[in-house]
Amino acid sequence: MTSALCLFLLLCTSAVCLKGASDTTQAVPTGVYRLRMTAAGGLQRSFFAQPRTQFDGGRTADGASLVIRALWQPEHLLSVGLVSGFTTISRDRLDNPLGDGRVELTLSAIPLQMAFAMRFAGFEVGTGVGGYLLISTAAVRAETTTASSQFEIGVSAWLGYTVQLTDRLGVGGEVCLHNLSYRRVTSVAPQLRLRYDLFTY
Amino acid sequence: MKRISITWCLVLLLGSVSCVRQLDELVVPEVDVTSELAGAGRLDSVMGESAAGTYQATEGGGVFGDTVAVLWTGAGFSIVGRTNVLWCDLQAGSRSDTVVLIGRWRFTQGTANGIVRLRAVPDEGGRELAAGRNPGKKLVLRGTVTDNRDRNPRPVVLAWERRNRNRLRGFYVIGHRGGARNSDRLGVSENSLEMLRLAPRLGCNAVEIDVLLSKDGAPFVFHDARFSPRTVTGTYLLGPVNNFTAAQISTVARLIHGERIPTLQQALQTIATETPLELVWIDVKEPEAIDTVLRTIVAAQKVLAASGRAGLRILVGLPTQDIYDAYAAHPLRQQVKAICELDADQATAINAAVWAPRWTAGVQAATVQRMQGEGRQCFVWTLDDVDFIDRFIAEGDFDGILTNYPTLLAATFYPKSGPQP
Repeated sequence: MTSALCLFLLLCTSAVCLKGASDTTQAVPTGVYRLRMTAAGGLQRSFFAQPRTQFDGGRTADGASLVIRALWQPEHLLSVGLVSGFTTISRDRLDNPLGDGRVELTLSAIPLQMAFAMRFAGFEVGTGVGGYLLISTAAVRAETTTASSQFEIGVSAWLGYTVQLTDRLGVGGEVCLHNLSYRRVTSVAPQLRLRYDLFTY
Repeated sequence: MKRISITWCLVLLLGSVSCVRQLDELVVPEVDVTSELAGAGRLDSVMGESAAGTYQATEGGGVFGDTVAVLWTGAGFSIVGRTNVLWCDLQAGSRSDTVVLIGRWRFTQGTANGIVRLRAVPDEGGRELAAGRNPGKKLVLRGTVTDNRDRNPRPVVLAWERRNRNRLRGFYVIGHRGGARNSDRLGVSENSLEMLRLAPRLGCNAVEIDVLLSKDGAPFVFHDARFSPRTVTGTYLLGPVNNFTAAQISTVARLIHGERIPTLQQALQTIATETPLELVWIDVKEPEAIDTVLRTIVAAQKVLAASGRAGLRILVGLPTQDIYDAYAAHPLRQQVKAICELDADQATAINAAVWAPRWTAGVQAATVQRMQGEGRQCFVWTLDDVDFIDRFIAEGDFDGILTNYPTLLAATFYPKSGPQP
């Protein structure tokens, strides 16, 4: 509820700012409004506040991250949009100390967030607010793997730099951070990014 | 505009990551009971019951308030008081003609805690206690309380006043979720075997436990329909409990303090063999579980009868209409008595052993009297507020109260003057 209220207030503020700015703009040239798609992918390291299982005291795990953002970019610095993607947070294959064979576990997450980003001199800094659809799969012994999912709140943040190759296409790199505050997991992913202006007007 | 936007982003980010309120740390004191009771003989139940009672705290050391109840738990003593909801968990022994009690005290409303040491010396009832006789009003427990670093000792004097209150038909202090909830930070998890073992020391003589089915139909003692960091540890446990098989739950799942999630059978066995609890209220969370739960109870009853614990009552709770209907249609319902949590007429219709209305319906004196007249007991759930506990004890005539704070309920019920057992 609090997050929703913050989002509402932020959007209202942004709208007022944009409206105020347009009043002082003499003439907006065409082609400055754009819908900008960004795909970023790379390896990821996750940090856990508690051991992942009772068999293994490990507090870190490696995985992969793919993030897709759709941002509406007006003539101002702030862009607003959506973030999604797919990240593998951790995967464990353990010898079951109870003597029941192998335990295979995976945890993945799909970000489902509102995104806000600022740009300056080729850099982009942004945050995603909302949550993650977490997907856990578990297999003990030779049983059929079962999957379970749950939506949990979380935020992401990123800092990236893009080199413009053409009018619409750019490539670069970024560091993306995912924070699942309820589950107390934080992931950091250095990623390559590909940016494309889907359309401009 | 840039400043406004950046500020909003920062506010939003900070607000999103800082919404978890951290509780004060609970520093539990170390107490070496074994060495402090070295050479002391164990108390038996006769000695223990003789020392139990309502005591006046003539010196309370800032901990005991004016009046406390001392309860014999089968292996030691608990002292409960209403001042900040005091709970002392003590072990005891007798050394020649002196009875020694040592353990931890804690205000369960907060984090204040420490160590308490008491003794009944020979001339103040210790001689009679050690000999298995009741010293009556002669009994005085003297000692000290210290803080959680065992410093700042303050004198304590507790003088026995009378036996703890009981109703002629008995009274059940029923611990919710096996005794208490995770939020009470007792160091053990709700609905765990460890919590069931702790429940009598919290003042319970009965417990309520919750039952859910795994994906393959095995009954597990667990409250929430979904796994969450509130109840379990481990990164991989999320979503509905019945997404996971029994093997996965027993292998992967651990409760918040590291215990395994018990099966219903394990819970009943622990209650029967390791506790003096007198009643188990099994709250069924889904109608599909009724068949398995009833069969498990019938099997447990046979074991209880063979092991001399036939007095332990195992009742199945019926909290919703669909669960009530599943029970009413089941052929084993004659062998397993029910706690009907719906209206009184429905309790009569299935001949429930207990009618258990929600506290929000009030004291309902006339209906309670009617139910008791039909041979049914009446429990009320779930009372946690001290004012309502006072009111229901003073104005009501319930045979048991379900609570998340059995310590508070025991501290309220037992010291009240009234019929003696």
